Amino acid sequence: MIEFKDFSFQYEEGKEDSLKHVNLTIPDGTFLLLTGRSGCGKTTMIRSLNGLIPHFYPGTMTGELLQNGVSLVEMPPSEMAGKIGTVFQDPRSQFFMTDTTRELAFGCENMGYSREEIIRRMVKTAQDLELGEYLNRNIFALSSGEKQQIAIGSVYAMTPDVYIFDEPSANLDYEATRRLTKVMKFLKNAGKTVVVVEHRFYYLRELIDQVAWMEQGELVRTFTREEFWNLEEETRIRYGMRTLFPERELRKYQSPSQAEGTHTPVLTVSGLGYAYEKRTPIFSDVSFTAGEGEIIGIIGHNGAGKTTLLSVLTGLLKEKTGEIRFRGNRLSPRKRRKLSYLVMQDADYQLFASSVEEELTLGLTPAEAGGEKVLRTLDELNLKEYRERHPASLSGGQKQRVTIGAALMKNSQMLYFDEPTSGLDYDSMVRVSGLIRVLAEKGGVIFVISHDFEFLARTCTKILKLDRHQRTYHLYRTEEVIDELIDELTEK
Amino acid sequence: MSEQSIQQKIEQNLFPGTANLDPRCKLLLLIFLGFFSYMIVGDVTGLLLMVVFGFLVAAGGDGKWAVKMLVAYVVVAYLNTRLKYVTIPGLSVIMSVFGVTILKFIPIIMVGRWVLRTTCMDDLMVSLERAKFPREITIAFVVMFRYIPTLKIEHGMIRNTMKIRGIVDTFWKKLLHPLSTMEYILVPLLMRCLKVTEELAASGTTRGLERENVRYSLRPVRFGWKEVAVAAGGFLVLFTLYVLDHTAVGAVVIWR
Amino acid sequence: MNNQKLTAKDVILTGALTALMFIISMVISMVMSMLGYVTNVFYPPVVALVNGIVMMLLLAKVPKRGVMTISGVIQGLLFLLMGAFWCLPVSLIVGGIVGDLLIANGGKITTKTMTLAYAIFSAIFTFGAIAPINLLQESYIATCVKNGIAQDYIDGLIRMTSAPMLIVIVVVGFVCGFLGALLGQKMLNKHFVKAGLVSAR
Repeated sequence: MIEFKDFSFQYEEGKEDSLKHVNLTIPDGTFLLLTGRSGCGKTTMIRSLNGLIPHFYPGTMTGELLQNGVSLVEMPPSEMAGKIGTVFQDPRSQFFMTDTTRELAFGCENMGYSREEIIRRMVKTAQDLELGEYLNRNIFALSSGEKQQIAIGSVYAMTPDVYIFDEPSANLDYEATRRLTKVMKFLKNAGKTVVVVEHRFYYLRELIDQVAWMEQGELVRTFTREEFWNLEEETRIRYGMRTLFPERELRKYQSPSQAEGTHTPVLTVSGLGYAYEKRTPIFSDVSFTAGEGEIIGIIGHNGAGKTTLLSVLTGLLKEKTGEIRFRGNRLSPRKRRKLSYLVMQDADYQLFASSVEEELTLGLTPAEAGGEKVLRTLDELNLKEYRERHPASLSGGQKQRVTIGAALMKNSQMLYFDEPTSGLDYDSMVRVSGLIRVLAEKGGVIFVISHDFEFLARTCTKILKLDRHQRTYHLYRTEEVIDELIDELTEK
Repeated sequence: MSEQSIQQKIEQNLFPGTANLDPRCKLLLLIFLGFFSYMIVGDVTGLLLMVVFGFLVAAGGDGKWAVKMLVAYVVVAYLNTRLKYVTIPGLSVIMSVFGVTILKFIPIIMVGRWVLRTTCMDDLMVSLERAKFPREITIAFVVMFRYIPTLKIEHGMIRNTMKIRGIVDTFWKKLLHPLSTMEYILVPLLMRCLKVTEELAASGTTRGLERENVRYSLRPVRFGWKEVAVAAGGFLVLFTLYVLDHTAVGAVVIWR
Repeated sequence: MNNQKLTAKDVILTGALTALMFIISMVISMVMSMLGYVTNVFYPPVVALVNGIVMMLLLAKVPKRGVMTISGVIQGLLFLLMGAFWCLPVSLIVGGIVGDLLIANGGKITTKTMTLAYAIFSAIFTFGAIAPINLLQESYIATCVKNGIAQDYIDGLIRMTSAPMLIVIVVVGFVCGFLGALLGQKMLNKHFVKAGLVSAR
């Protein structure tokens, strides 16, 4: 049993308490969902649980945090290893070894187990979590979902009683999320305590025993599974939570479908194909037409070539076959780069300057950057007060808006978003959706890669979907794709 | 997958033969090679050195690579002799020195890449630890290996953004503004680095990286009689070649 | 603060940033050796200049003794693996240790001691990278003679790698290390301190 007793914590560099008088009891074997808006203190909760607080993230605390009566905060992380296991958010940044087998062994090797013991544990792990196929592979060649499975395996081999997951679905596609559910179900059935921090939690609904909702460092409300399943939609939205039953609500919030011909066609893609090696095309024969002001979703599992498609469309890669025309003119990769703007999932790659204002004008000629335009753009994106701030000091959402601002300054006709809502709470997701629709009204075409169908349903006019057998993308109406998704969700 | 096949897969040696020598042994060979390679000047002795170490690499599962490097060696050695027909003042000297340097590098590159490719990180950690390297150094060393491919990926992402945004995207702009080019690439790389290492460290710490117990790797790591024999053999070969180099053998000219 | 033990977090950051420094050295040395013999000799000072930014960030994030040694040792080990002549790895290791001795001289790590330590480190690194050319002169010249290159070119080569020239290059290395540290501190203030990622001192 884990108990938070009137527990408060303040980071060394923090201005106020990140956790305020939290009281929570987690009985053994409970599946707990921790949720709440960004910055509500969820992450601080799990950092307290896994021993990173106060040893890794120093600060001051009051109250108690006990596991079976023993204080957790007095134990150094090295002593907690093997008792409480954590799977972190970004699968890319939590492995040490370069091959999968050794990564699975990493935790056990740290524990100082004998060779026989390590191998015994690994065999059990590979069997229980079905990781046999993944052994002896280069980690860099794995997809995010596969990397995460290895990360879970590495923790599992240490046989902790408590598992902590930090936004595990943020980087996953639909299928990888399904596999994640399966693994979590296995852990639950094995009697483990599981704590999951998550915004998009629909995939956990069958597993949840208890839900804790936090706001501004306080644990405001806990729900039992029944209470949570029967939560009214209005309350849920007030709490800024994503839906537990996407199949019930997807249609409701779907962007109104428009009759064919509402949009004047501007972008024509025909016979587009790309291959890194001649015999294995990433995709081929992609043809579609997009209209002025359209928002086109791009979906497909990890490794389906979505990023490559985006790179070709933006002009970062040169197409191997086919052509791209915009307002009738054929565009070379160079011209496409001029007209395009890509908003990446990680804004960190896209910020170069030392102030927001400078960031917006970077790479532009003085004529393009001059005048009132910067101020107007800052105003439009609610960034005026951050004008002088360093972009890296902003929150994730603000950084995203800064990169969008740079796109507006560049007058980009084609805007591309890569996973703009990964790790966002309900409010932020709705805000991003709204912003993208406003941008679309300015003209041009917008493309969005996303796994987040709540967001796709709200935002997109059409969806490009991978046809696995032919390795090509076809354009569908959003309704068609949503209907298919709903079928899959209800079937489960 | 059955229990047995999983166990087999886990215990399987990823590379054959000499690749399974203790990492310390491979490192020693490299150090010897680095020391002697520059001092062995003769045509015959140089080629012999390539052949001997080529066999070592081939016996460690990288025959193709060994052959490639051997061919490269012969080609560069031959081209170096052609330089005497080039009589552009200054340039000949530069080219000659360049050619000789490359020739000296080839054996080390051949063995070095092979060691890099065939050494498992946990074997390396354990063997460095057994050699009484402090914990801090073994961990940092392993992280460095793991982080180099990551840097390549992140650099690619940053360059893509710069291209799309038109930030120092042409050769001329780079040449005219070397300092800003450096700043625009380095700053995002460093920002990411701070973020990634924090999560990496958190993940390692919760998995017991700071524990101070003796560690065992998946495969036994031992500096046994095989390692002693290979290291001593390697040293002897190099030393003999060095001695030969100062006799008539060293003066024999094959490349003309 | 100074004699605090290094945590896993510190060591990992050191490893990652050293990987970056290593790549930077590799790229610069490759480009400059392509450009010609004269630029090749001056590659270490340029490396010191650029890596100053990385090193200053590292030292600002982990102001503890031992960081420079670890960084030097693992860079040296990797250079050894990549086929550098032993002088270079040895100089990196010695440079790291000397840097660490200087950085907390008198007990406190300040911007000044950081700058000095890095400049000395750069000078030692420059020496280690260039000295082999001097040591191996014999080998080069033997090959040049064999390849039938005229005597006056060989004399030129000897002059290029003579002891006075070496001193000049090492001094340039020291100066560039000094400038690199200043540049690094400027970048630190412009970006990392402003963004709140490094606390200002």
